[in-house]
Formats: sequence, structure tokens, C-alpha cells
Amino acid sequence: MRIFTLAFKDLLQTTRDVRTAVFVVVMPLLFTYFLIAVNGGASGSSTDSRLALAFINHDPNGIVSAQFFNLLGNSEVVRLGVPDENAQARISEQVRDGTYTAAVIVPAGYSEQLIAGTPVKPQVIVDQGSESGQSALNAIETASDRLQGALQTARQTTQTFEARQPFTDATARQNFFNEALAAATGAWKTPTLTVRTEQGGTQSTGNQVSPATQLSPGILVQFVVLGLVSICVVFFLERKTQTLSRMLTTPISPLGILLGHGLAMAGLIFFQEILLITFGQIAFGVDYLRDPLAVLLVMVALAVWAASLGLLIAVFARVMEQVVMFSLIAMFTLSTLGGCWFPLEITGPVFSTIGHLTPSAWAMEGFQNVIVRGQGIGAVLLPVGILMAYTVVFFSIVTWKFQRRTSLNMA
Amino acid sequence: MLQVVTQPQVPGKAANHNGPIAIRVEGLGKNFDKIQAVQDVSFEVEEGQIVSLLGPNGAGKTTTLSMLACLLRPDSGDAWIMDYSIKTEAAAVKQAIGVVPQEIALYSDLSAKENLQFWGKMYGLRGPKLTGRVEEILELVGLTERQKGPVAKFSGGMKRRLNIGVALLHRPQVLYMDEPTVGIDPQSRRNILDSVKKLNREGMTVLYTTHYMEEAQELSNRIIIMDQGKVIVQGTHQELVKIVGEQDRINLTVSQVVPKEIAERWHALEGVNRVSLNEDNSLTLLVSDSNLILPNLFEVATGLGARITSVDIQEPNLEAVFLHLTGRGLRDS
Ligand SMILES: Nc1ncnc2c1ncn2[C@@H]1O[C@H](COP(=O)(O)OP(=O)(O)OP(=O)(O)O)[C@@H](O)[C@H]1O
Ligand SMILES: [Mg+2]
Repeated sequence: MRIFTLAFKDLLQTTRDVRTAVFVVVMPLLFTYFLIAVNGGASGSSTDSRLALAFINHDPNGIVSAQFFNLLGNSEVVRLGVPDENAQARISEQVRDGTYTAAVIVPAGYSEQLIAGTPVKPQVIVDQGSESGQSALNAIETASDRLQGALQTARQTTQTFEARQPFTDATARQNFFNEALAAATGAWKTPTLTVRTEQGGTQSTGNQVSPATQLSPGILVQFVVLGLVSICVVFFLERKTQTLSRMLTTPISPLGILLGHGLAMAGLIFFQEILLITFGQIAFGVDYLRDPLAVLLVMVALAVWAASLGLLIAVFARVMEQVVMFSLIAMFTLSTLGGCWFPLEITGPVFSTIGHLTPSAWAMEGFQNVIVRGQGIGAVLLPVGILMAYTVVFFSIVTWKFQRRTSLNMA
Repeated sequence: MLQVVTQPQVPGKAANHNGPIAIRVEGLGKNFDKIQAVQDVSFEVEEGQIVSLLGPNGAGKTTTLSMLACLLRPDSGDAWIMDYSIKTEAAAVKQAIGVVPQEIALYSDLSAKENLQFWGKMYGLRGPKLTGRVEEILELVGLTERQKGPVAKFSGGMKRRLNIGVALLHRPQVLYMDEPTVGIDPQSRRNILDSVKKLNREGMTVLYTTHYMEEAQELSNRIIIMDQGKVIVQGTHQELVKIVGEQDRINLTVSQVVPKEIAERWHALEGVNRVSLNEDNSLTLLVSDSNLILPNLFEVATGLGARITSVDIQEPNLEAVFLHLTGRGLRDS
């Protein structure tokens, strides 16, 4: 009962702090809104106004065709889709009925011939009479021109290098050329999430990480830490003033005090989650409701883990500035390593392995197993279990530190 | 020549028991790393009495109270509050006591009423009982009119009053007050001293700490003087001032001289028993007879080319007792 009294008091104090409104509500909502909008919108096609472009690659292992795909994917005009074999057979028909605005067909041996210096062009299927058809064609030509430029650059670089110091063998030369080409293509693009994520998608429909399905849960997980700041401050100030020692003269136990503050933190974060999830679902069509129970489980686990992190920060901070500083450090490390900004799958094995050591990565995994991979409750049990394990570890450290502080020295 | 009339009483045997004992402290000790904050402290407080712990900064008053409030575990000794041991029956002790901490222990972003409601609930009050008690306390501490605004906007005196009010919510049998009048205006101070007396008349046992001897003198049935973690003497005010016997206490202000130098010269005089240098560079002397010694003091001063700018002769008081027993003033450090 006293635990609830304490939690309620914390929340009352929290509502009196302007930081709460800013960190819990305004900032995460604005971040979600702007980042998703900037990165090309929702998971459904409803708010993505880019033109659908089919990319059919008969040169699957070619280095140049891969860069061509990258450059196209970088475009703000077209959105790439890779039709399956079935759909490839009917591609002209699909362009006609508007499933795709245009289709690019990369012929076999495309890369090899271009590297050898033989001019070869991809085939383009498009209705040139329509305005959108023209736009798509422009985008394809821009990408094509850039690719030519990049090829030229790579060839030049390789020759210049070779003139000074010959390559040991053909493979070395090829590798050098490939790198030069990748670098030259890379110069054209300002990397965005869209490109990289859609590279992974090999089907034309469903199960893809889109800006919305990445950033909606990503920002939610990231802001969990910032949302805690104002309530951490409440607990911290309690430690620093004699309100904590006064509390210890009442019948509540030290453990009860920690549970009370933890409950308030978890409650606040749960509220923030509901807000952001509702926003993601309504504004961007992120399908949290696909499995409400599974999402709820992840939400609760995340809130409870966040509370243990909040207690950790409040118990370890020595001065007020540290509460904010620790929170910011935790937020940036956990969100970057935890794959809140980009999927860990695209980061390479080392980063991904390290990333999966963070609780935030598992929260992301839990949410995305539902909203991206369409899996059910069974698929969130592992992430939830890992979050709970982290909670136990954090809370044990908190209890140890708090007991030390309360038994030795009231501060 | 001075003679000590009464030896300081042996700690623990202080009281001649009239009533039941509310607080019994035996051999309490507490160290912080190398600091011996409290050493072998023993005393008793009868039910319905006000007893003061008087001592300078760092004497160990707060540490003693913290142990008696079950906030700190003693390294040695034990104490019983209403017969409950602070070591083994902390829960019962906590129900019996109210604690007014030295610092303001309130949530400054909440209102007076919200603070009282919260602390009332923490003490286990609920429903109409809680509401009624909160109103009573607001009335008692004179904050009924100001119950709504945040405590942050309160004056120092108002905060102190609320700080006391919170400790009274659950009607404790024993009240600990740790320097409750520090840093407030004389009027609020008066108000607080009067309410302590009023609470005591209604039967509450009070353990009060202070470094103002006037407060200890005015309020207490008995006074325990602490210094450097130890009880140096305890007894009623009358008993304590008897220790300094017939000595007079003279406060002098001097100019045109290094005070330390003149202090040493005065101390060498026959009939001057103690000299202490105060923070404001005035000097306090304990002398056997002020009439006889004053001319000599002036003579020494003149010899040093110093001027005595004020002289104040006082009756024996607790300040003199402390000076007599420790060689230092209560408020110098
Ligand atoms: N938590 C602590 N850690 C280390 N030392 C402490 C701690 N609390 C008190 N002390 C030391 O113990 C001694 C007694 O301190 P205490 O606060 O009990 O004195 P006090 O009589 O209440 O003084 P004041 O009048 O300044 O409040 C001091 O030397 C103090 O520095
Ligand atoms: Mg103190």
C-alpha cells in the first residue's frame, strides 16, 4: 500500500516538472513524426508518394548492377521493388496496369561488359506518355549517368594506381576496382535508411523494414530513457534532501522505497509507450495491433527494465547534472548499439553481436518480430525474457548500492 | 581560588527516577571511518519530559538521534524507546517516534497539504482519519491559509513549522527534534519553542538537540551536554550551573591588539580560570571574582597598548559550564 502511495507521489511531482511534458510527450512525438516523414513515410504505401519501380536483375552477382540498384534506391522519385519470378514474367502487364510505374531489366553479363568497356544499357519498360512515366525514366537516366561517371572514375583510378605499382594478380586488380567503384558510387548518395533496408527486401510485398516500422519502435525504445529523467530527478532529490531519511523513519522498508519509485517509473514509461504506439499505429500504419498481446508483453517488459535503469541512474548519481548526463549517455549508447536507428542486420556481424548485448536491441527485436516479421507471442518470449534478466541484474545492483547508502550514510 | 562544587555526574546514573522511562540509551557508539562520531553515550529520558542534547557543531547530536531513529546502526551499545530496542524492534520504535530532521525534509514542489497527506499515508493513516489529522496539523502549525501553494515558496520559518508538523501526524509518543530553530527569524523561533512546550504539556516526550544554550535552558527538564562524540555532563540546569560554582563569566571586546596574545597574558593572571577566543574575536573569561580581577585585566591591556571596548559580566550559565569543562566556547569550533 505504501508502495503505491510513494509511486503516486512521484507521479504527482513528475507532472509538476516541465521536463516531463517535453521528454515524455512532445519530443518523442515530434521525433517520430519528422524522422518518419523525412525518411519517406509509412509502412503502407499510403503516404509514400514515390513511384514504384520494378528492378529485375539478370546479372545477380555483378558488382556494377549492385551499384546501379543502390543508386536507384537512393532516388527520391522512385521506390524500388524486386518482383518475384512469377511477377517478372508478367512485368509489361504490371507496368501497364500501374502496379509499377516502370521496370528496369538488367541483362546478364551487364557488369562484366561495362567493366570491359563495352557499352550496354539496361532495358526499361515504361509508358513514356504519362507524366509519372517520364519522371521514372528521368530518375533511371540520372542513376544511369551517375553509374557511368562512377565507372569512369573507378577505371581511371585503377589505371593510375596500376601505373605506379602493378597488381599482383587479376583478383587483386578486380578487388581494387570494385572498391573504387563502390567509393565512387557512394559519393553520389547521402545514405538514407530506405536504400539499405530495401536492399534486404527481396520480395515485392510485406515483411519489410520500412522507415516507419524501424523508427516508430526505435524512437519509442530510445525515448524510454529520456522519459525517465524527470522522475529520476524526483528520486535523486529525495536522496539528497532529508526526505529519504524521513521516509526511513516511517514503516516503509528500503526495498519498499525502491519498489515504489520503480513502480512510478514503469508506470510513466508505460504511458509513454501507449502514446507512441498509438501514434505509430494511427499516423503511420505501423501494425502494432497485429498481435496486441505480444506487443503488450514487450511494452511491459520494456517499461519494467527501463524502471530498473532509472533507479540505477538515480542511485548512482552524485550530483543533479549526473542524472541528466547518465541518462543521455545511456540513451545514445543503447539506441545506437541497440539498433533503434537502423536495423542491426545491416551493420555487419561484429556490430550486430555487440548490439545484441544491449537490452534495447532486444526490445526492438520484440517489437519488430511482431510489426515487421508478423510473428506472434512465441516470438517475443525470448526478447521479453532477456529484458527481464537485465531487470533482475540492474535491480540487484540498485538494491546493493541503496542498502549501502542507507545503512552507512543517508546521502 | 576556584573549586569545582559538583563533579560531572556519571553518565547513565543521571536521573532519579520519578516516572517510567521513555528513552533509555546505553553505551551507544558510532564511527565513520576514522571519526568517532559518538562514543559510549548513555542517558535516560522519563516519559513526559523534555531533554536537550546541547553541543557545538560536530558534537554527535545528529548521529545520536539517527541511531535512536533506527536510521543508523550503532557500532556498539543499544537503546530502548518505550521499551522497544532500536536494534531488534525497529518497526515498533518507528511507530512510537516522530522525527523532525535537522534539514527541511519536505517535497518543495508539493503543497503543504499534499506533503501532509503523503506523509500521513506513509505513517498508515487513511480516509477521514487522515483528512482530519491533516487539518489539525495545518491548524497547529498555522498554515491553514497557505495549504495550497508549493512549499518552495514558503519562508524559512514556515518550512520549519511544516517540517515539525509532519512529524506529529501519527501522534507519536516520543518526538525527536534536531535543531528545529536553525536559521529562522526570532518570531518563528518563539512560535516553535512555544509549540514544543505545548506538545509537552499534552504529554509528549521530547528529545531536543540544539547548540543554543538559551533554548536548552528554557525548554528542558534535563540537559545533556555533548562534545566530540561524548556526553561530558548531564543534569538539570541548576545542577549544571553549580559545576562552575561561584565563577563569573566575562565577555570582553578588545582592539589594537592580537586577541590571542592578550588571551595568553590574561590566562596567566591569578583568578582567571579559563579564557576562550570567540569567532568574532571577542574573548570569554571564567574568573573567580570579577570585581577583583577587572582592574588587572585593564592593566594588562594598557601594558600591551590595547583598548578594551566592551565588558559584559554574566551570571553562571550553560555557556560557562561548557567553557569550564572543555576550555572552549559552545559556538566556536
Ligand atoms: N555520514 C557521515 N559520514 C562521515 N562522517 C560523518 C557522517 N555523519 C556525521 N559525521 C561526522 O560525525 C561527527 C558528528 O556529526 P553530527 O552530525 O552527529 O554532529 P552534530 O552534533 O549533529 O553537529 P551539528 O550541530 O553541526 O549538526 C562529525 O565529525 C561529522 O563530521
Ligand atoms: Mg546535527
